[in-house]
Amino acid sequence: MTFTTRFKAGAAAIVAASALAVAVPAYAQTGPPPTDPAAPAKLADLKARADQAVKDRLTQIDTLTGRLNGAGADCGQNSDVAGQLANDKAGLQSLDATIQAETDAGKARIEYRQIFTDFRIYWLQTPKTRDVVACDRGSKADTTLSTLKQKIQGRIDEAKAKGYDVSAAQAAVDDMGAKLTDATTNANQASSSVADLQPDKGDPSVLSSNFAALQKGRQDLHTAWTDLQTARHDARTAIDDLKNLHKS
Amino acid sequence: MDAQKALRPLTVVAAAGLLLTGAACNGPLARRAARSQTPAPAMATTTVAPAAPAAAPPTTLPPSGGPSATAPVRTDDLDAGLQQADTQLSQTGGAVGDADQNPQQNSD
Repeated sequence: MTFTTRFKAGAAAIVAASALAVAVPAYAQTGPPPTDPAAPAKLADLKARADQAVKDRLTQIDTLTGRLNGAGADCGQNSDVAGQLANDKAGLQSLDATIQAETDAGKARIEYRQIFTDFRIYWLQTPKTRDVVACDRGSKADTTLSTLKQKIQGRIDEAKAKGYDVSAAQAAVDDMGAKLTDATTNANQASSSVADLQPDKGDPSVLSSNFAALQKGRQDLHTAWTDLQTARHDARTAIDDLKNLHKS
Repeated sequence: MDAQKALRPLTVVAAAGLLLTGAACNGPLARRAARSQTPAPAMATTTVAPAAPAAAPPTTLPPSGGPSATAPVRTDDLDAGLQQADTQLSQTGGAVGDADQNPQQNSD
């Protein structure tokens, strides 16, 4: 093998690996339990920092609410999570007003900490909303594939009545149906298991259980995604089989 | 005069023979000529797609047994349905990838 040949083979392997990495969403772990920032010593600095932290979170809440509203489907948790985000928005605005009016430095430090522990906009609400939106999107694709499955089944029945051997197409569409059912179950599990997680408010045990629930939800979401891809592959197989039928 | 009278029956008989011979030969020749100018009716009425509905050309059955040149059932709309699903699956993959991203600020 010449150097050029080895170089080409190596380059091809890198390109193939890169393509796979792009095609399959990276399974990143949910972030580690948060370390809350310390409050600034000076009250004026604390107020300024709190105001900015609240504004950042309000922007993030608007982004998440927009994602929910644009999901195009609903696994059943959209209104629940949208309601939580609306409450978070009102709560953060109220807390910011309280901090800005605070004259007691000790109370201000406690209230400052609540911006993080009582809302968890980045650490909890963001991955929660993303899981729910992913379930919504998957649900929409699942519905379209289910409609397609019914059509394919109709054509299989039609070909069978004409005397064709449809066993391969039937096996593919049967597996497609099973995978669509699994995808629905796993996606709903991912969405419903995280939707009602509440901010820990500084309780380490709640923080730990939330962390575990987010991890499990992410796993269920990935399983649902794999199920959908398999169902799509089954559909392609069944359609191709219908195109190449032989008389039984 | 007598010779003319004697030959007249022979002339009539010969003429009649020629007419009969011509008629006898003209039938097969005419049929052969007609056959060579028009396609065989039996070929034109042969049906190769007995079970296929007339309004759906892609469903034409192939000759017995062999691999089909065209699908025995309609599949173009199935391909279109799969393309629609692909669009939604692409959006789903994007959402799953989005969910995989760590929060912007792990600290809270």
